[in-house]
Amino acid sequence: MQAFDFSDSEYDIREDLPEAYRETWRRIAAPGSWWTGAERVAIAQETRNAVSCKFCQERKKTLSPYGMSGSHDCASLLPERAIDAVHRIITDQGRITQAYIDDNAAHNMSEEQYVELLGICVVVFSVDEFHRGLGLALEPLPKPKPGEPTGYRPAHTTRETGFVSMIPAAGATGEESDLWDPKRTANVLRALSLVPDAVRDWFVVHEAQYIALEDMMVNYGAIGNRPINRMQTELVASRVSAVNECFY
Amino acid sequence: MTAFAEALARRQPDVLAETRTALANAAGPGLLVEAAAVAANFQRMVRIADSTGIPIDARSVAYGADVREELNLNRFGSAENTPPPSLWQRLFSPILRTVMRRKIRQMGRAHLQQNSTP
Repeated sequence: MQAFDFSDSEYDIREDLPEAYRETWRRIAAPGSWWTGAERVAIAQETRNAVSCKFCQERKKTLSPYGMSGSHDCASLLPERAIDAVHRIITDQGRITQAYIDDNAAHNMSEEQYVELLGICVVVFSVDEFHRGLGLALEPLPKPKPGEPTGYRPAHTTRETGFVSMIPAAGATGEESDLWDPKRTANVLRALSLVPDAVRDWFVVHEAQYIALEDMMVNYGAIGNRPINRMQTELVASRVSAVNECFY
Repeated sequence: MTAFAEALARRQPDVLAETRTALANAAGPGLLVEAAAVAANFQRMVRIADSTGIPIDARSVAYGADVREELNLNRFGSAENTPPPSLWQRLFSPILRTVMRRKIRQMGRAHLQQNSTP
């Protein structure tokens, strides 16, 4: 049986969603730029562990998220700092700071590794949240593919905004020319661009779950033949963002 | 639909189950699937934005300044990642938004015409 088979589900789920999710699973299982396939799947598993982690629940209640010691509910081969980063991204992302990322970089988790880890976390979390939303069982994680990370880093990056290095707004050229139109981009598009494949990973699910990037500024009506229009879409998006206290 | 989105984001399993059923009954299972997809998408987007500390894009700072103030969004911790709007940006925020709204309408109409042409 292939992954993301919704044929037994009570819902009629359009085919581009499971197609995007299958492609996402295939990409997660393969070696990335800074983590092996086994490590990437372990990051995906840790994303699931974080959701019910007791330590994260306690830490979320504290005034300072950096003063409490303890152990996460985890079971993986990842370094401790990587486990902590995954759990913070999933359960307390609003209190991640520049100092936290810099401290990780000074202790053997580079900003490149952090960005790739973040990309895996958020895409797996997003796929899982779709399942949780509909009350469906989570898809088993893929089996990792062998091989070594490529170590690829874009030639031109800058650190003029945000906590991590990014490709400049006008710098999506050459190998990165598929990421965005150099004349028009947004910080959220650039956010993961230190690891270009992490941006490509989110493109895979973005269009299926939300709207095509090229339609974002022009389509305010129906979205293809979906039974949801753009206004309803933005209502859901803004409610989720408000609950998460996302200023962006 | 917003109650469903909120229950998902707040991780309230009982409320989520209730709102899921209510939304499917009120608007059909098709809309429920779409709402789940969008909510799942934005569970990702907020984490990308906050975990990388990105500020609001420069072009958006001015035309949304007064709305963000009215909604008191500056209380969010991640507001620290965006420099506060200047006096000029606050004053011109409503005007810029009117211009932007007109521009967006034009773009939307052009998109509709393009898609309705056989």
